[in-house]
Amino acid sequence: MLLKNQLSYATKFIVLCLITMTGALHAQTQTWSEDMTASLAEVGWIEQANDGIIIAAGAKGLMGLDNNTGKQVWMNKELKGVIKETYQNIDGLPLFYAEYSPIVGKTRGIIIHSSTGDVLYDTKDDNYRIKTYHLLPDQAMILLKSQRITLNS
Amino acid sequence: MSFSLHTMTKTWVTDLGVIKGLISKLGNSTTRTSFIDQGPMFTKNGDIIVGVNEMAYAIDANNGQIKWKYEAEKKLQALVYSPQSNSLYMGVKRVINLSF
Repeated sequence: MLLKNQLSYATKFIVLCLITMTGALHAQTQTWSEDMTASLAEVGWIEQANDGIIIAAGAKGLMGLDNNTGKQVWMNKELKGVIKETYQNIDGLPLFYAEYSPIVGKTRGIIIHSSTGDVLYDTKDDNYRIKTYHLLPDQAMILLKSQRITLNS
Repeated sequence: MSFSLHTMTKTWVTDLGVIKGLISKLGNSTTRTSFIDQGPMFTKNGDIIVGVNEMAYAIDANNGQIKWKYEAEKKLQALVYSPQSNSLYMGVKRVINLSF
């Protein structure tokens, strides 16, 4: 009798697990999918900017995607092979900083407006590399701690 | 370097010297290390105070010009600005008080 009860409880538990798993599986619905073979060749990495835009980097450039629809918002074909480890969102703002190494020339740092894809600052002229930043909303200012890139660095 | 959130452009760059030693070779953006040891903090009149190694700098927030700099005997371990007394307190091996 005891064994029968235990088996009954075990059966109920398994059924409950199956129902739970089925429910969980039904809850996972794919909202969008985008083939980026033509636009990026291969997606190296993705991040999400503060405004929700999905940033996708690939061999053919850097792209901003609408996180709700997956549609391309902007594309910059100059920014090929942006280095994932250098990506950083600037807190509370639709801005991010990243670095990339062009085929010709030195590593460059860029500040991009994630909503539009506009490059707001490029270190190519000043030869700086941004290390960290301090956001100062009262002064409407970002203080960027940067280091000049030299032959030794 | 200052970046304006009004115009979304770079406003000024101030040179605070050369980083010596391993940090200049090993440090890069992926390490997220900062060469500014203390600050930034703001004085009552809006100047930016930062400490780098044994140096303390006051920078004009509008144009990035260095208003004054002070060299301590050794590396700054602490830097505190008091708006009440409009003074800067530095901790090295002994406390130094700079009044503006």
